[in-house]
Amino acid sequence: MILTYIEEKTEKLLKDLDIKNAPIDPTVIAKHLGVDVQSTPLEEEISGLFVMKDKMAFIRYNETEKNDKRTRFTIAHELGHFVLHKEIPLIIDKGNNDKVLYRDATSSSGELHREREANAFAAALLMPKYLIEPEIKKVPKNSEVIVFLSNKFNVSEQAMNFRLINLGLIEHGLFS
Amino acid sequence: MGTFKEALYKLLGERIRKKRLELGYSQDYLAKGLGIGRASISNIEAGKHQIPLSTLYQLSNKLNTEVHLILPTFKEVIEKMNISEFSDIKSVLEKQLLKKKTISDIEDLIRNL
Repeated sequence: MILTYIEEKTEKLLKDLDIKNAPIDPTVIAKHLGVDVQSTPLEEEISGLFVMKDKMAFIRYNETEKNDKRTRFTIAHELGHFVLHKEIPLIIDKGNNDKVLYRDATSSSGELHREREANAFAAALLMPKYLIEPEIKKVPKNSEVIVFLSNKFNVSEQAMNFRLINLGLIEHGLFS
Repeated sequence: MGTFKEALYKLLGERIRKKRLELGYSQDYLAKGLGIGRASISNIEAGKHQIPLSTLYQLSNKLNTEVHLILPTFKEVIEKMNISEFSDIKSVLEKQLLKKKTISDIEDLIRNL
């Protein structure tokens, strides 16, 4: 699923910062937006959270998560909440996959919608179309396109797989 | 999350109400004495109506007090803002299925930001 209004926002942000190469560092974008990002000790069930306090924005991610690809995605996801949902004072993100959210009976449809938007934002920010398209042409022969690009963009293979499908660049990938 | 203005009028309204009840006045009685409607008093007390300064002087007089004694200080308004902001946050936390430890961790984290 491609959300055009989100693609436009992330592309503008990246172009404002003159970002021309992958991998993209979401902390640089946070700094540009004036959002304070730090790791913090949190229970395992929480991947990260977004807080607005006294008109200041804070992102905190779980310091126990050692997988760099995951923390990068979490920060980009929380930045999505900042850009799209800053009227909400606190958003807590549980785990890194949607299954946790669906299992939570208290999640309203509004929350699900916000989570999808934040995921779409993170994907568009870390894997912008304008950088994917030239890179996909550089995939060496005998390399798996998803593996090659996920390393280049420093994202999980699963995230790259979905992004390439959503952009219509592959028909079905490793996980379908 | 309230603005400074919202917190100011809310706090002021609460103080006016408290003073009025201490004196045992009805909203009607106070309104008649000031030549305004009862609904205006109700809105002032709820912080929904921005009371003109001149009316505030007259109202303070009717409440046997001085205007500076019921006006909140800057710091008090800021504290009021933070309290309502934090209660929003508490309601978000309570709506989620989280471990007690997670909730207290997050509360501490936010308090210390």
